[in-house]
Amino acid sequence: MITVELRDVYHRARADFWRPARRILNGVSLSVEEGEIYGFLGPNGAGKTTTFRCITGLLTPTSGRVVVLGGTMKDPGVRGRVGFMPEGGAYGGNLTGQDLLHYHAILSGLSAVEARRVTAELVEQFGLKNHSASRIANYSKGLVQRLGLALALISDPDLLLLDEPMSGLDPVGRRMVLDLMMVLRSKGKTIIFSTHILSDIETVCDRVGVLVEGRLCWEGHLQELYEDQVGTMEITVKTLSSEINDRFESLFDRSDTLAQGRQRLFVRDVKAGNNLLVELLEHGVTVFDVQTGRGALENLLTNKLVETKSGFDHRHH
Amino acid sequence: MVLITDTIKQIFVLGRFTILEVVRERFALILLLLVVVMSVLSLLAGSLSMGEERRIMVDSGLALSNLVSRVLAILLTVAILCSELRRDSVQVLLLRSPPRWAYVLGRFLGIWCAVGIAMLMMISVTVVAIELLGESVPRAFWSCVWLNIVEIAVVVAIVLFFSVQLPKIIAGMSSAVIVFAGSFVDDFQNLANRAAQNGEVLYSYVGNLIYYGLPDLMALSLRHQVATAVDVSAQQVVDATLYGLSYAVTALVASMWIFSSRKSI
Repeated sequence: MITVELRDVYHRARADFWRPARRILNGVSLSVEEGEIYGFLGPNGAGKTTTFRCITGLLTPTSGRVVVLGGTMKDPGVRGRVGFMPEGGAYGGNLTGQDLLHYHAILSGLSAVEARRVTAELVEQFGLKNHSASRIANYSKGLVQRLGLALALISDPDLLLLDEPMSGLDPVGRRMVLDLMMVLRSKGKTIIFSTHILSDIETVCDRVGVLVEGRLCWEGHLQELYEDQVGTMEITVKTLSSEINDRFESLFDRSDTLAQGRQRLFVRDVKAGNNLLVELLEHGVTVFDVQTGRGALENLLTNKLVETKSGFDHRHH
Repeated sequence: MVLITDTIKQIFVLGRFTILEVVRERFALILLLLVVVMSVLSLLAGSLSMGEERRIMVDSGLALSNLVSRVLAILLTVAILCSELRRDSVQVLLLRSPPRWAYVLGRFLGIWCAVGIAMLMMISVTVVAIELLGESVPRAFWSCVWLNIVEIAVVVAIVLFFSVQLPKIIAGMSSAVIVFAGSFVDDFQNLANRAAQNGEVLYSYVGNLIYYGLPDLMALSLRHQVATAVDVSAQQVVDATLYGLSYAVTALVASMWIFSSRKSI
């Protein structure tokens, strides 16, 4: 079943009233299935946040169709089944985290007793217990992010929209969010999230959409992407001596010098990569890490950006 | 029916939490504290004036509470609503089912109640001081307090009207200008009449437009009558109440309509 469907969504807006309107979304069409984790990828200003705002109904696109959970966001029944965490959300600074959660729980239609129970659970789950009585104005960025996530989950939504949920989180917080996403997926919830952290997309996403200049340039399963670039291999080793480096230079395509006396070798072909690995081990080189397929998303994003940029340059010549 | 009940419940929840936000607004608390100190000082000044104690106390108490409640209504509405619209928190809030108009109405009720309570606290200082002097509070005093509460509704509705569509500073300044000019609407009418007598149709038209567009806040003020012990008729209070509430409801409905029609939040 399709949870979110966007068809030919265009949006034009002006940053200030004296400036000409700019096209923010350029015919975005996508559909997200129930129980799927869909990742939005794209540079700053690509239109990710605008797409989220169109889905939530907070922004009416210039043209196009947006269907959420089989209806529109004008329907309170549909709105109640959607959880949203805006990017860098700043919440009522005068209230405490606990007050805000309780407030939203009651607004979501829970009874006072039920709201108190849910609030206590979320405070515990998101590590807000020691700060629940402090004013939100005194929260750190990471705590505000955690609070935002707790707010998004308060009504046990079927669809969760998370705009840059990892921004400002420490590694423990990031891990917690990724684990949470996987737990929610196992419960059949649909999640759409945007991030700049490619490894997070690779960890949890079923499908990815690459948005560049308001256009969905690529969309598909990560598996397809890896199959396309199955040969990519990265071997992290202790910095090679000049003798070994000269000897195997022809077996790798590129190498990067890393901190703490390490070096990363890039090989485009798995077979060649395996041969290189065997040779390196036979010659007593210390191998720290071997990754295949990594970089596929980065390459894809870079290629799409370059393609769009060259298209832009072409149009303007 | 369930939907209507839910919406009404949500409006009251929004109002309740708005009061909580106001109570925790530091500048409001500081302002209130300042007013209590100023009230006590003015009461002391009143007690030094031979035979005029009650008049000075009533006059200064009502004037101070009226001025501060206007300032509070403008600052709090702008601080809470504009800040929330600028932040992303309103986006999360609007997904919690309440229709947009209900959000505006809930905020209105919350701020009106909060400022009303603050005003009553200020008034209570005056009342206690008058009682301590062994004097009685005139009946018309309470009519004046009631009209002050109506006036707060008018001011909050005006600030809401600007806040739902303009940035914080412009909304605050526009509201302050309208509220300030609202104390001089009679002068605009006089100017319009004079222009009409001189055959200046355009000036007369503009003057009348301003007169009918601006809130007549003087119609809601009985302070001078109360201070000078002039009788206040029930009809005058009813008329002023109807005028004030009509103005507040019109501004509020316009705010709700504008906020509901916004294509982007």
